[in-house]
Amino acid sequence: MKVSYNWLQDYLDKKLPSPEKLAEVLTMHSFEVEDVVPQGKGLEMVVVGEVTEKKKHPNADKLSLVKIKIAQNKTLNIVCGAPNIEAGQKVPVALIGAELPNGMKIEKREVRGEVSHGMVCSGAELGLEKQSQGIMVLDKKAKIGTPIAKVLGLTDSILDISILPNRNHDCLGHFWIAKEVAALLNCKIKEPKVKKYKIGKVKKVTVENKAKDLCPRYMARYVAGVNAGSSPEWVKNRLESVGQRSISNLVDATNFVMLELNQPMHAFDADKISGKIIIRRAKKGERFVTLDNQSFELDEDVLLIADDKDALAIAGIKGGKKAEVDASTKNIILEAANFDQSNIRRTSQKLGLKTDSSLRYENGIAHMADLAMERVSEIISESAGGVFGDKTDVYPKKQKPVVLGLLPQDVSKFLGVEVKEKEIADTLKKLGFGVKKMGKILKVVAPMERIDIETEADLIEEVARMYGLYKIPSILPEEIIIPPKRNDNVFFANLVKDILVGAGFSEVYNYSFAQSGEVELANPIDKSKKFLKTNLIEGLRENVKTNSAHFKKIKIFEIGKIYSQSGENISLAGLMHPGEFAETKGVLETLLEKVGIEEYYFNDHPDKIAEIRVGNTSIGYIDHNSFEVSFEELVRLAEEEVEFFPISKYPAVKRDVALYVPIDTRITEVEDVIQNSGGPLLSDVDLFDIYEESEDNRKSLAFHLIFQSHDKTLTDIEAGELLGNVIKALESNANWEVRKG
Amino acid sequence: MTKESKKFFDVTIPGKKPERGHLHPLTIVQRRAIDIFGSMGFEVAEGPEAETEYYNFDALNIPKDHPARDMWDTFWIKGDLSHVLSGAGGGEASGVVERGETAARRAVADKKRFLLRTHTSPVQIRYMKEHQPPFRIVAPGKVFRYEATDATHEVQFYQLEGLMIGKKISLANLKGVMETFFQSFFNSKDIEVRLRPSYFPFVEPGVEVDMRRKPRRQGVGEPTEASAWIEIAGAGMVHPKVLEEVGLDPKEYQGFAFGMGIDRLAIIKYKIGDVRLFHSGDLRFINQF
Repeated sequence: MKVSYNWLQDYLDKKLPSPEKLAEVLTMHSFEVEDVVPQGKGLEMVVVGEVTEKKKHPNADKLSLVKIKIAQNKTLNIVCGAPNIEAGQKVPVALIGAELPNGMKIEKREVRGEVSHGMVCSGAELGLEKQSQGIMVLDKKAKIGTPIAKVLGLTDSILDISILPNRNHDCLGHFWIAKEVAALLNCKIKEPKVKKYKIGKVKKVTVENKAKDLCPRYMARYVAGVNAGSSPEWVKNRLESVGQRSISNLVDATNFVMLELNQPMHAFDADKISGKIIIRRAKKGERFVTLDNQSFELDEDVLLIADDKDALAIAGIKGGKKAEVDASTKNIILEAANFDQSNIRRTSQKLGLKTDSSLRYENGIAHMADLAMERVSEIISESAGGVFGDKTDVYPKKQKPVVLGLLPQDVSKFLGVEVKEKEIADTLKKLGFGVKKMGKILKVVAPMERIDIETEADLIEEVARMYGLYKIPSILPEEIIIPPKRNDNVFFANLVKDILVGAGFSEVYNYSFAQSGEVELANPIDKSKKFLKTNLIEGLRENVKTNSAHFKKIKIFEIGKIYSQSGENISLAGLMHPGEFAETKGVLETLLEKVGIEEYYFNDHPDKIAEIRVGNTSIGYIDHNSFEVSFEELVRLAEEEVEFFPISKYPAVKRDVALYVPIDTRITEVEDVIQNSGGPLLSDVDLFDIYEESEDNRKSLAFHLIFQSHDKTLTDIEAGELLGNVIKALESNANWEVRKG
Repeated sequence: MTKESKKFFDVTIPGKKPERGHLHPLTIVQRRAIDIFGSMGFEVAEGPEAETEYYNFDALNIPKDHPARDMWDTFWIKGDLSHVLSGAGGGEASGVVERGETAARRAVADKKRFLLRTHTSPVQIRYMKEHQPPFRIVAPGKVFRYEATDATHEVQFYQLEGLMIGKKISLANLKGVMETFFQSFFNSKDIEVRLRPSYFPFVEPGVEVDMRRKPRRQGVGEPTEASAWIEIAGAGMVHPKVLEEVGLDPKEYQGFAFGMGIDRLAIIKYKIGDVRLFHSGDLRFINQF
């Protein structure tokens, strides 16, 4: 929110520190000030000058050569294109070296053969208006050489404050920020001084509340005989300083009070209203046209302010055409109300209609209609005159003050630093809380506007931030040091990633969204990817496409969640490009063995090359150059403990066996026979050669068999016998032929 | 040539590097963070990415139709996941929110609406409901925000949530743990942190954690200026309403929670200029780590 420094100053009895200093104090104790912008920024080198002479430019019809006096002994020659410049005017002149708010840098330059030593500026060039017709002409009394910011009263600084959501209840109003500042800087808050207004015998507004659940308070007041016109300068200045356009004295007064007290207000043209004010829900299908001609179809959840015939406003959000205040308005009805915050929020979201008023109502505000009504009456009386009627206040259930008990030692216990009871009490009092000691506790009454205060914890926060959170020391917790319980997913993810990285794979992270899937988003950002992905491999294939321009060989993997109707699961996928089956399988085998899964095997798969099984469980699949497995199954099956087998002291004996088998025989079938017949001394079987003889429809397999004993050196004869057993077993299959010699 | 008989050998010949892959920078950062918190006794907890509205919002004191929800732009999920998600569904309320219903009924309804978690904070709730205090956990994980992407905004990124609950865990302890973590993470004793006011509905007081390199004075190595403060984490004391929601007595237990962006830590550590690189799958990026 844009906050005017000068506006805050209006409410304080002591001079504020510099805007930058104030910003720092607020940031460290209340809420973050994101930026401080002096109003005259960019106008430092723009001064008042007097046009002493105007001549036509000899080489250009539309340009003039002017002499501008900026000091008793200094006159500048400037080329000017504005049609409205005349001798005798006082004008803003940007001197050489100026950098204007719009970024324009002023330099000495030649325009069609004439040198220009500066620029005469328009309002737009000074950043004061969006568009300008010609240069800005100043008051004749302006003194030459005076900085333009001073002449125009641009002495304010605007603080861009990111008010925390729990302070939107009060601090979207300047007065309440000033109250906060007063507590921080130890000064007193001043109620604004405005002259008394005229109360007279005029109509009293009749209000009928048909939706008490959505409107806990509605205050209205009739004002007769106002003069619609423009606002006094002080109101205009304040509004414009925080980026609000001045509209008319009547509308400006309501906006001013909203920005001052955070109470949205509305002014209706009383003569356009038929009968009484009725607060009611909209009828289904009821149409409403706003002040700015937007048309809406409403339903019963929308709250309206209406008269006997028509809707006048969408409550708390926007006024309508019917009772719009305009230049001919003579009598008005002023509104200050409270509306249900959830309802305002829902309506505002549903209609896509966000206004300064809806923002405040949806955050919730205190019941301060009386205060706001007084204030707006004073301002309207000053700016538009009028006679003010009695206030109608439909307010059945009064806002009760929040009373809390605070145990002083709880503050220290929460903060971890000792804060004395007196300091706690003083701090709360400064912020406007009522504090009374009752036995061991402090009885604390929250100020009316602080509806964010609900619990003792809120009070502790108040003390903490006033004390200064930055002053709280760093203290490590005094706890018994016990190592944390291991998280298996994390542990094995680390292990798997390290294994794959060691095998030359790089890790990618992809988005969770996909073109198709089982879990659909209601509001996808990319309409072509409205599902949550069901696998990781498609993402990896995309990665190959985008990387292939830069890399010949790509080896990548990802561990991440996939989603289906059976829930979300962690998946692991790997891909190599180019790659072939045996290589991919080797990677996967290394991986499984390294995480301690020994009992895996590969089985036929309907559309991939193979599924990977452990016991009866399928844990994933493998294809030519890729694989995807359930990481959760991997973790479940993983054995981190590696069993150590003693290394034999005796040499190993190697024997080879080769055989022909039909071409569709699985290697594992042959291996199984060898393993089962080799006996306990067969320590390893290793396929070292394979070739296919397609004309005979058979293939040759050759294995190294390693025999080793832990007790003795095996003799040639013993090894030969063991090999013989294997050969016999192989030959018992009639289709297999062991190659001899 | 040297006068020794040693044969000429060109030592400038390029070395043949063994083929190896690269971990994603977010993995490296996440590991380091988990290791450091692990050394301080924090256990890793996890939770689902597709969550219920209840765990993501209501249980964290972020009621429906409250403007605080605007702090989290949310991806909503069509359909019902209650058959696969623990703590989802059940209860008497229908999915339709009636006017004037109580917060409790609404929370029941919100167990039947599903979304992609917007922060890792629901893990706090799930963990606290299932365990007995004291608690000391970190929950790293993927989170989602419904917003347009640019160099500093992503629809999905990684957070690290922390929670420590005991009988007297204080704000000063939060600062101690944060300072120790960042000093260790950035490997510099010169890192200092400060707390300043902030607001998150599930903590009270809520704080912003800022970090900077301390100024170094003359005589202790090279004198340096302090670096600017940067926002690095959101934190605070766990809100009594949250403790009550998980069945703990706020009079007996108290503690802190914090959340930081793993992406942000990586950006600061490696000076990465565009968050979109993390999910680009571009090996020219990943191979640098």
